[in-house]
Amino acid sequence: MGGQPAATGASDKPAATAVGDKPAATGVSDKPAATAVGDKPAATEMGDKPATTPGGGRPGATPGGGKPGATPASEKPAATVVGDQPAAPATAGLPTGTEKPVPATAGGEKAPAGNAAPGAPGAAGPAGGAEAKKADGAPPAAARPAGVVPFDGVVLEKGNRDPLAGIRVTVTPWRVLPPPADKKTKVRGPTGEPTGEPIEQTTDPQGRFRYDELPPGTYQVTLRGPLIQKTQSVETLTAGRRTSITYFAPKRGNPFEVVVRAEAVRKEVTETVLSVDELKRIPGTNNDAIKAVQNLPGVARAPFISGLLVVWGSSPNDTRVYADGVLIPVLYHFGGLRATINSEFVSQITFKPGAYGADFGRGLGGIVDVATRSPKDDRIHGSITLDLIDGSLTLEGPLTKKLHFAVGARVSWISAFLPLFNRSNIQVSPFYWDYQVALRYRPTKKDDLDLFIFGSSDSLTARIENPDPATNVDLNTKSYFSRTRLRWTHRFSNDTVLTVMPSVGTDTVRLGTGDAAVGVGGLSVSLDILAFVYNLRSELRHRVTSWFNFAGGVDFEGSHTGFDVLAPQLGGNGSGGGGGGGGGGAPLSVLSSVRDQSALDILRTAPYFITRFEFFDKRLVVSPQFRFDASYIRSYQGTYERTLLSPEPRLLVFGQVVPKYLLLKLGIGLFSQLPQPQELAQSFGNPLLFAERGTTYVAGVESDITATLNVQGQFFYKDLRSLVVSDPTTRFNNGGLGRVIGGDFLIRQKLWKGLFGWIAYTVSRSERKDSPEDPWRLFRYDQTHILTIIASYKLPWWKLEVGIRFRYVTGNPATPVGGGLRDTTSQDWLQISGGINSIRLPAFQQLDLRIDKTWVFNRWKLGLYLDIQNLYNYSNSEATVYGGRQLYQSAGITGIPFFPNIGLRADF
Amino acid sequence: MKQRNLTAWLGSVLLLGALAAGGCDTGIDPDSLVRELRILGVRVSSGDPAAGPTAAELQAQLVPGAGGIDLAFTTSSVELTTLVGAPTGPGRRFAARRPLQYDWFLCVGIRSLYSPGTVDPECRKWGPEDGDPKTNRSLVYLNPAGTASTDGSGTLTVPTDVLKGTLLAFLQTVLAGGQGGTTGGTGGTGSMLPTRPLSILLPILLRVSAVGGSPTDNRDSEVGYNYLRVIIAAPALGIPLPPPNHNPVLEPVLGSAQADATLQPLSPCTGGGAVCTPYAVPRSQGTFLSGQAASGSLETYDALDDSGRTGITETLRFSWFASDGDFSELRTGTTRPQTQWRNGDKYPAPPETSTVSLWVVAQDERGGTDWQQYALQLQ
Repeated sequence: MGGQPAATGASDKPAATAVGDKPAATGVSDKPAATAVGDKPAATEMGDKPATTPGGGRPGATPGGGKPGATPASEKPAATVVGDQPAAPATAGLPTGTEKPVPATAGGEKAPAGNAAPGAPGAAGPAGGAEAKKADGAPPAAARPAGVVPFDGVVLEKGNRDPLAGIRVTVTPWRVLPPPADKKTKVRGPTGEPTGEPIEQTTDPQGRFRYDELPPGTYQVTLRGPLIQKTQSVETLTAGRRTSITYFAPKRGNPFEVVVRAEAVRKEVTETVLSVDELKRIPGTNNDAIKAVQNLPGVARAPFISGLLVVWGSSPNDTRVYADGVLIPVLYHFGGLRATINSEFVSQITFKPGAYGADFGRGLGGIVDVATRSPKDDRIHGSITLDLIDGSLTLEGPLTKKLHFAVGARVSWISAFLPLFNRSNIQVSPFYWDYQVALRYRPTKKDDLDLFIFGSSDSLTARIENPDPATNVDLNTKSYFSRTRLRWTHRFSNDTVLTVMPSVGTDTVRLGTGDAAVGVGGLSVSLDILAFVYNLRSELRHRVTSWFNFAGGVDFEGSHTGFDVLAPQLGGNGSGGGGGGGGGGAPLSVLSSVRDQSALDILRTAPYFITRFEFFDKRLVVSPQFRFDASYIRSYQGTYERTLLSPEPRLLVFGQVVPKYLLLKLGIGLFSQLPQPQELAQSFGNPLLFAERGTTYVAGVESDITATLNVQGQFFYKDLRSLVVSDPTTRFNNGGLGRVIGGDFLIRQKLWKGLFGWIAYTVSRSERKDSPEDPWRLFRYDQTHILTIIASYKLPWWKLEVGIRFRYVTGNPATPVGGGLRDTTSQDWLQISGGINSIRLPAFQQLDLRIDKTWVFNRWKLGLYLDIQNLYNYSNSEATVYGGRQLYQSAGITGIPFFPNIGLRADF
Repeated sequence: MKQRNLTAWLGSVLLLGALAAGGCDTGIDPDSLVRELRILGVRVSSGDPAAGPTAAELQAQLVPGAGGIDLAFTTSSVELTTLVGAPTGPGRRFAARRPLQYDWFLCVGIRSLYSPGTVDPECRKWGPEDGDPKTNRSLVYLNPAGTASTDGSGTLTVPTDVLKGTLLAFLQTVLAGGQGGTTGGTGGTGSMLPTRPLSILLPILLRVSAVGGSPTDNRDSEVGYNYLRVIIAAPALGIPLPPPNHNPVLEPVLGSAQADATLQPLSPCTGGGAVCTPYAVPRSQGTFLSGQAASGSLETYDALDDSGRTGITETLRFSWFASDGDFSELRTGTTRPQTQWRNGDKYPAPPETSTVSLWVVAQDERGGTDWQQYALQLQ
């Protein structure tokens, strides 16, 4: 901003407000006043009246007759004077409170030495609000030395008005000089020269500063800090008047960004903690941070619009997703369009692909834990986000000093746009919404109580009307979940912390035929599942000595699931290829629908104990852990009642070979997971199935090459046993085996000079077999090579941020079709399959581009993003369809073509 | 949890389908195009055809017998007939009509019995490397003597006793508690006794091959299958047999050069397609066709499952096939029976071809089948 004339006559919002009946002597504007353009005097407001600057004799803090550059801190309204009575006594009745946005200087200027002012009152400002409108904190005039005036203020982040702590506020006596006669000469910073020694303070956590004893006069105020751009302005302090100013300081980097820099204490061998604000700007995620999980090493590319999480060669059902430690049934809305939890509520996402600690279990895959953040407590904030898919609204702030809230809601409107792309007779109307409510209460300094209520709904109606009655569909589906989680954290001391977290919720899945006569190809199907879930997670952490600490806890999950299913018992003639190469089998209308209804109670209790021994100044950490998972299952009125026990020892070891630069990591653990609920159904599954088991081994290295550049890599091996596989007579049995071997590599650049990104590469091989006698075959989602390159850079011009994502992934395994048998009942073909998963689809590659543009106003920000998927419109084959006579013809089904999405976001 | 995935998956598939159907052209031949040997339909007939529409299913009753139970069929045999399209002429594999060999098999693979509507993987082995299917233990060869005919029907009469052993072994397992759900009406109760008539689907496989053809040239043979529906009642349990499903009866197809013109009935071929009265069609245009069934073809029935649906009126589905050209709709139904045959750009009849064979197969949703063949004279 520095060299630009910033003051113009226009004004679209007040930037300085006076407290009192009268408007501030300096008007209100977001336009710079310090450097006026044209006829307006500099350093005045853009209102009709020139700013009254007592002592100056004429308006404008910077003389110069409207010359640009007089004070390039130009976006500020001068507005430094409070009240309209000259020399009013400094009493409680003092009018106070102006605001002052301050632009960045162009940089390169050296601020005055930051010497603390002798006798300065320190960072503690007046209590009660960042707007600095309280005069109570100012000492009475009688108590002040004669000839001094109070000067205080608050520094807020421009755009979102977050208080900025730790900002150095330097006040330097200043003499204003006229601008250079040569108008072509660029002037940076307030024109003038120091006339005295600078004094400096640092803003308190509320962003406040305060000088009580400054002589009247003109001062240059400089704001500096690691997270903001250096800003300068000139203020005139008038005798007998208190001056209070709100500064809006522009932040460095992306204005929407709040980088989470505090790294959690390392608990896992393989754990990636991601800053949400980075993730939201990854191309292809459409502003959804949680979707970025799919770009991490170890995560396979999700099949086309599936949103599945395939981690380290495990089945999608093997990876569990938590929100603040509470299991949630689904992470994404339809097809991975959007996460079910609004990113605005998320502080960070922790991804653990395997060999994680004993506090989690019940899954053979990875863990995704979405941590929510505390509501802001300074004032009311909000955001609005709109794009072609959906829109959301959030609001948060303090209710009382100790109670803070946040609410959010999102609703989709993609069904309104879908008909634009749909020229067929298939009418599909997907609709989803979700909500979040967060409350945080701090009754004491040692206690935190926070409540998080959230839920999500997906519904879809599909009506397909063809001349062929066998292909007609009239179907309604709806799935919904809600969770209410209360978390109490009590800090007994710095070494002992107790967390108790009960939660309850419901899961509902309904699927039914809208018109029973049509149903699905004339067959009646329905699904009605209502589950009540109740969980408790509690943990006590205690540091015993400097080299030993432990955590003990319990992880309880209970559920009562009532289900009523009416569906045919499909035997599986093979997956249909779609199009002309159907899956064969009897037409649905010929089949019989079977009803299965009962209640399934599952109580799962897992006490766990984690110890941590730290040797050699923490250069060697050994963490033996143990979890004992006990599951009680009861179904069909007690016909089936079983208890399954699973002792699961785990061991994690970290060794700092070269502190900071080389960390060795080892991990091993046993894991287990119950069969999926429907696999335990009597008519569709096998109630006698037992738990699947696995052992995971990990060895890796990690290095912080710089403060922001991290490199890590690991090898992993998973041995999977007792996997549930289909059985010709009992439908399912536990005879399956699996193995996964591979390695992944991540080089990650955290935000540094406007750049962030990572390169993730995974190589792996995942195999399965249905019985020990069978040969190994590739797992359905096995992807040998997965390369993801993400980079985002803030361009030095136009405040644009540009990001790219490039992915290259080995094609998914596929089963070749070696001909077809003619099914004369359904008039379709039954595939004669070759070796299961014995071939692969072509490799996938895609380049995505994202451009962000942000306009930062004093009190709000407006962001516009363009997210383009498949920039060069590469035809990625997502599946192969077979057709023609005996299925000897084939064609590829391609994935997302060039697809732009545009979105708006406003924060206040 | 997986149900949610299922729902999300369903939504995704439908979404994808909606987008793909909006204009996706895979370049794959339409299913209606019959340029080489094709099995177009299999009809199950039980009872005397002279008495009217034949039953399209087998019915039996559970009665006491050796080993505890026995099956008493309502008929001693079932007749299997097939419709095969084998167009001849320039550019075809068959320049002239060839005798065809029909080999019928019953699939007794365990997955077919326990999972209704499934062809056991062991019954799908028909490649040259799979050996002689007559030695496949999952297949029962139904016509050891073999039949060879040129009439395009390959009719085979199967004594019901051939099926009894397989069905009884399966029923004894099921009723002993092996698979409750398969018997219907028992899901979740723990009881294995049926509460309604059982519906069992037996895959019947048929291989049609040109006599003297190459065993490695897929144009010389084709394998198809059809599900033989067997309805089993238990009078001792108060479960009577429902009225049998009958095969529909097709009326002559109606045709017209214009969609809104008066439709005229076409003359179907007779003699297994050997004797036809061609229907004149302008070569550059096409014709609108509409299927129709004789009155009484649409029967009313109660669903033999847990849905509780009763009084359901059948719907007919017309599947259209032609040796050249394509159709605007490959399948039509009783409510929207019309399609348009087009001698368009994609699959036009060769210039030297003057007659196009056309077949229409009508099926109800319970397996009842009828068909007709026509000849279109291109002008």
